[in-house]
Amino acid sequence: MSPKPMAELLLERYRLGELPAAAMAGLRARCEADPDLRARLEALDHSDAAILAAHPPASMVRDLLAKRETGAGMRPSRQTGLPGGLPGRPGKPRRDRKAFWAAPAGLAFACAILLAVRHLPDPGNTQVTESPEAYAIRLKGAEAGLAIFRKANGGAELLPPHALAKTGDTLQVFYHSRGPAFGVIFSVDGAGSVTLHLPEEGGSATALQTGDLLPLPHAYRLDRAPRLERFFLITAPRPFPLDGLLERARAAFAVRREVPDSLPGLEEGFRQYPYTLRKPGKGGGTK
Amino acid sequence: MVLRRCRQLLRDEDAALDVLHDVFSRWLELAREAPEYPSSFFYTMATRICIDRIRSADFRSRSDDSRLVEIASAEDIEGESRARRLLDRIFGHQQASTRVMAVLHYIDGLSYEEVAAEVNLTAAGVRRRLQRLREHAAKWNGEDKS
Repeated sequence: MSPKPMAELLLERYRLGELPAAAMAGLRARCEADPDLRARLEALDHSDAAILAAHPPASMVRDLLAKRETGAGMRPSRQTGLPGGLPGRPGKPRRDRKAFWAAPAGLAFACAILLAVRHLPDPGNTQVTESPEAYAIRLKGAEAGLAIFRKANGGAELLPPHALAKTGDTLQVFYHSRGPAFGVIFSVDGAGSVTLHLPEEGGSATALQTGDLLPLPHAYRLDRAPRLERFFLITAPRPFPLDGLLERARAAFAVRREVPDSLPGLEEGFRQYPYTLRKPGKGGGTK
Repeated sequence: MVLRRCRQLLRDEDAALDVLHDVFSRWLELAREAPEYPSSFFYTMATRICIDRIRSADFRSRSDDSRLVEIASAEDIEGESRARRLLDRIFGHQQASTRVMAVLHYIDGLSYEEVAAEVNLTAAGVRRRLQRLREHAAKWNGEDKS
């Protein structure tokens, strides 16, 4: 007697690695032996790609935010775009505080669930990389933080910290800040180059917008520098000049010829939120 | 995955996107801790909201493709208000998760054990709930015929 057809939900959970270990192993064996199941998995892959193409994360997040602004049951017009503006901007109505603060991680989480291009877990893979969902959950509780998406298959995927990224990848950096703060976002690559992302020109730290995840004005293409790219969000309760800070990052690299895990010597009140992307090849691991 | 689920049940792209937003919006409103298996949580929540949508006469009048809607449409042959009353009586008197269980079991083909894993009950509990649902349906069917 042939086994009963595999329910779609179980296949979805299998793809996401969300079945208990024994069930995962059983299904993996069944998929290896059953071309129809493999075809269904491939169809789901194609469906993911089509959804990503039709509904890029940025527009999905905008729609969701807009719906939350305008009230349940009202999807914003595709022609008119955002009715309420992004959180933190003047003139927008205040939302319930609990829901307001839940949004950033929720959006990342939503993106992760909705749009994740996640591969089946490889039993031999020992790399320590958070899943997009796990990272989104952690982000939810943070005062501030970064989230980085990679352009992929016409859409985008969330790269959790320590994920592998490669030369030429187009990255979109998002930040969130719970409370009013000034901040800077820069990255240090494996060659010691320091790139300023926010603000895009030097001077003084930017007044961060509070609330939901916000994209930086421009995407960023990863260059050939080896090993890793570590992004830093540095926040402080007051404006601060950037030159000294960036110079400190360069100096920290120069000491050990390694990208620093954290920026030393920050003054009281400063906070830092590093976010590392590994690059393939020797030394691409993280410490 | 969630959008696929909504499409599967609703067969209407706009409605599916609308429910997709509802799913995540409700999760944000709950501001709850992430579940152990997020996909399962969102899948069942999407199912529940889709069922609510399907129950609306407006939606049933526009759609005719999913098995859920076919069931509703079959009742509509005898009169929409009666069909709606029947569905309301079947579903309205049950805990919300029973409707989801019914869809997972009867529509999606999950076993009692598999449904139980999704809704955090025992297989016996799922069997009892669905049995009660069937009994209610039979009873109300009988009442409607009388």
